[in-house]
Amino acid sequence: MSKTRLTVSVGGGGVGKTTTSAALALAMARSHKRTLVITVDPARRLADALGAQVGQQAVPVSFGPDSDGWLYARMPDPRASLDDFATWLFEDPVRRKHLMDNPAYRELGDSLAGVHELVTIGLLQHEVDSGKYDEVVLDTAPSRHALAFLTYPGRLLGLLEARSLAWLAALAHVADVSNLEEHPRTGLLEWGRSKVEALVGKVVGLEGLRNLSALFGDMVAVRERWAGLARRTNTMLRDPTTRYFIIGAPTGGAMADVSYLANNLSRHGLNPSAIVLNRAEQDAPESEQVLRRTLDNGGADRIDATMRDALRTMLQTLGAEHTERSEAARKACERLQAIAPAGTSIVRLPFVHRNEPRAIVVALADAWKAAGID
Amino acid sequence: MPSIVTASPPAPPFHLKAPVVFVTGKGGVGKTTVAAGLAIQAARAGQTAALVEFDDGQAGARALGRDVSEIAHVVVIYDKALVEALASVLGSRILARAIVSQRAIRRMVRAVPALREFALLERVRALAAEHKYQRIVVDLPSSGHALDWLRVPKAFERFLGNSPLGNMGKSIHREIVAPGRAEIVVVTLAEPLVVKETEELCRRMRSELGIAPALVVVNRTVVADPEGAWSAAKELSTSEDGVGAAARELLQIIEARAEQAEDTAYAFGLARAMDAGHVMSLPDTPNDPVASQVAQWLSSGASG
Repeated sequence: MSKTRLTVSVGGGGVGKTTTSAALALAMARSHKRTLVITVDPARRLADALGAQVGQQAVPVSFGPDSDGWLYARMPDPRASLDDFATWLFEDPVRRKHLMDNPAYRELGDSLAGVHELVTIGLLQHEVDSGKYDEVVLDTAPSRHALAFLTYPGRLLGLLEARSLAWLAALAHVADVSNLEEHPRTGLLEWGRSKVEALVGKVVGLEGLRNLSALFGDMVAVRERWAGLARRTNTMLRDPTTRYFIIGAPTGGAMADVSYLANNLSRHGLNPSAIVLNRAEQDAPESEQVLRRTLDNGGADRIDATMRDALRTMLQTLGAEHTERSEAARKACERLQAIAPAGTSIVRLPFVHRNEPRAIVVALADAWKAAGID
Repeated sequence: MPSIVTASPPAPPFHLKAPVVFVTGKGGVGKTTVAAGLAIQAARAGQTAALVEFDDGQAGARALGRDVSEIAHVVVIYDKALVEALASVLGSRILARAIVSQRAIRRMVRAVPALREFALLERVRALAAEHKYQRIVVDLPSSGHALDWLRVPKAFERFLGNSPLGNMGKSIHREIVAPGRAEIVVVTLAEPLVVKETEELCRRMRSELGIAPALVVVNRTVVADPEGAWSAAKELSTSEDGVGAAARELLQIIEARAEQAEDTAYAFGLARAMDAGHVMSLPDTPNDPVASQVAQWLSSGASG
């Protein structure tokens, strides 16, 4: 069986990244590749866009006979996922209960901030390892959070490095002053270390230190398993077949995000496969031009003058918008040429004049295919 | 025909009361520009005001453009914030640096969730406690993340109890998160997905923090299209020629735009249902508006 290919889409907020990623997945599913799209963002956007109630596990998504059976979506609920992850990590049920009962796990896990990266790594690897998919599209959280995700395996490996973890796990022991007196330490380095330990105890309190220390103690027990996961994810993120798509849109903020993300990817030794300009308006569609010509040539005389005027005003408004937007798109494209590293293609996706998310996904899937990416 | 919703009546002028204002909303809705606009508006009303930002400060700088003279733009950096937080617990910056320079601690600090949010919010608390600014407008991350942020101090308090860091969590919550201390401004757009996310955000804000938004801003609203245009397109769409086909396509576009007007009305209704103090809309412009322009719109209280 062929290997699962990973596509990571990153981009700033408000560029339509989630919809664009779903559309890419649909385009690939239509080419009969078994495709899964995962969104990291806690908001329920993907679920809405796909018209599916996406929950914990990957669920099939229906867009019609040409893609049915090929397209799946997964939008994890981070709260539940952390427990899932802990369940995977701790094979020993006693240890697992010990962890889950720890106030440090309950409070910090529940407060969520920063937990997403952790959970994402676990489930992404799980889905890729399952071998069920030809393609996995990962829709990351907006902007700079996305890069936090990319570097998280590395940071985690830093923490899981044996000496650090053992030291943290032993903290509670030395924070207790009586222990310190029983086992006096000698040497300047040791003195410095115990000083730091005492300070940490002072900051979080003995009770907090015990809980934290117990948490690190549990981590020591599963260190190898966890580090193995982080290492594999790190390798996968750096695999030459893994693609990075930076999604942008023709606004000042979104363009700044594209440039920021391109720079940061290259700082991590990664290159975007493509920079995607979403909502890139073209000239006024043929239909509007036909109607304008008809009105100008005195056609459409079967509707009364007031209606003709209203229609003319409407078409003028639309025309002005098209002009402004296509000019913005043209400028954005120029800037992207300058930003894009060598070998990175630039993909233009159209401004879809529809309101329903599903219609936008379908239109963008056609555009992906037309761009040769499916 | 689709119901065309005309622009809402001008909203009454609003006044934010709390010293700290958190601005959030789905990514890309113009959060930073509204935050900068609120700070400038406060400054023009005679208050000393600061715009607080957590990333690298570029977004705020872009939104402010050249309007930097009226307000302070404070960019809070994690590493420094953490040292400051520890220093205030230990009473010494040297000891705080000693802790964070310890190898294992440094690694933990980089990998442990929530510590970053805690340290950054502590900086906001400290800034508020200085009373140097009468109005501090904080540009929070987007919706889901913003709520997670605001829940962090309480979580530290519960988990670390009566320790210095636990007490710090308690102070942060009491001084800049608790109802009455802070106000939350939610920015949204008249788009189904965005409104939906706003609804979820407001619900969670109420259930998890007991706070209703002080102000909901519906950003980038469009002016309703002329009423006769839909009827005209409908009329023309029945013919079998090219004009008919073009009219049918135009109909879809007009209807999508009318839906946007409906979504604006829906967002207004939602804001009221969520007990928002005020709700207002800002107009759509071809280019990103500068913060001083937004401040003017906010002051006029006018709807788009």
